[in-house]
Amino acid sequence: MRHAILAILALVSCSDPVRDGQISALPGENPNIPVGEYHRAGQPCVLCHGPGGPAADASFAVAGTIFADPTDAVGVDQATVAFTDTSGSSFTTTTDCVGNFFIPRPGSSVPGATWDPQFPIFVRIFKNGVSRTMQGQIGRERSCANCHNDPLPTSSQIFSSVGHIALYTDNPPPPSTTCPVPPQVGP
Amino acid sequence: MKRLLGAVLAAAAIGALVSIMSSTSACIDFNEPDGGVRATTILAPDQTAFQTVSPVFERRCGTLDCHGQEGRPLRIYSGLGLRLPNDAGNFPGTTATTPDEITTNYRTVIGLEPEEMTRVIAGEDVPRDLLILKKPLMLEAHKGGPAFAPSGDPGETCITSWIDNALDKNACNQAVAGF
Repeated sequence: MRHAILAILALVSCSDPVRDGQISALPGENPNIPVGEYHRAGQPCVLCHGPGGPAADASFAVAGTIFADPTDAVGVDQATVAFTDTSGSSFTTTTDCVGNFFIPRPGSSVPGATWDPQFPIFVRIFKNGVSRTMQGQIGRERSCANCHNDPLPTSSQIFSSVGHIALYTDNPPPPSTTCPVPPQVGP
Repeated sequence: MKRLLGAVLAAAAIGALVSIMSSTSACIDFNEPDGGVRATTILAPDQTAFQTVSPVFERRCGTLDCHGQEGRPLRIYSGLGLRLPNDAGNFPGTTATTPDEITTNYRTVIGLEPEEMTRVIAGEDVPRDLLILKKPLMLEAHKGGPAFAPSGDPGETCITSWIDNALDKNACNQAVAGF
């Protein structure tokens, strides 16, 4: 009887199979990086940190990772990420030592100032006089990495991805030496 | 006797099959009663002028997170977004929108609602009856929210002027400024 009730509950419980599939397709946690602000750099954060996701209580308005250059996935520490939305509201945040940044949504359990942008939004990143401005608008995507992922050269994804976000085109500064976790993606 | 019965059954089966085929073909008759051939004519706005209009769709609708996706209707190709598969090395953000992409965008836009587009071009309906305006203006539910201001948006002016065969290039340029 108990198993039958559990089975019925499982059948009627709400889930989004598309999101669930996207989450299960992501690379797993790096065992050297604890779950927290440094984890899963370069992955689409708001898949989990959004309404209905497994980390919905810690939801983000926008989140992503800033890397140093287009080829290597080394995070940039203390880069400024400046957003403006279509209503003129602005929000500025900074990256941590793996390049991650996240803006909590109102009601999120994540501490700090919150923002509820009205899409489309526009973004610029900068550090020490170097800046890059996104040429297009962000229509409604809250995870930078959903579009800014590293394309697979053998698939059609190469025609639909702009690669990961990179602040520098050449001569990137050395990675953080004080970061408590490896500042680059990978083992 | 058995042979005779078998031949009768075979003949009956063939007859039934022929009957079914002839009745089926009778249902698929492309000839009009007057002897002419049925044709569907679509009226559409000017394709050459669309070169000025395409950037509005590219910048305001075709970002990679909206209509610049392969799986989404009204799929829009652009230099900054989704690229038409090619061997020329045109990847997102590397080169300007190509003529082939503009042509594909044109077909996408006029092919979204060909009958309604025909009615609008014929003057029976107005441009705001088209999904390409109803959706961004939120006159109809739009998952991406409002993409145009409710009134006076240069994007709407650009598209409407194109449909009305009186292209307002200034409005088209204004519609993409800052996007």
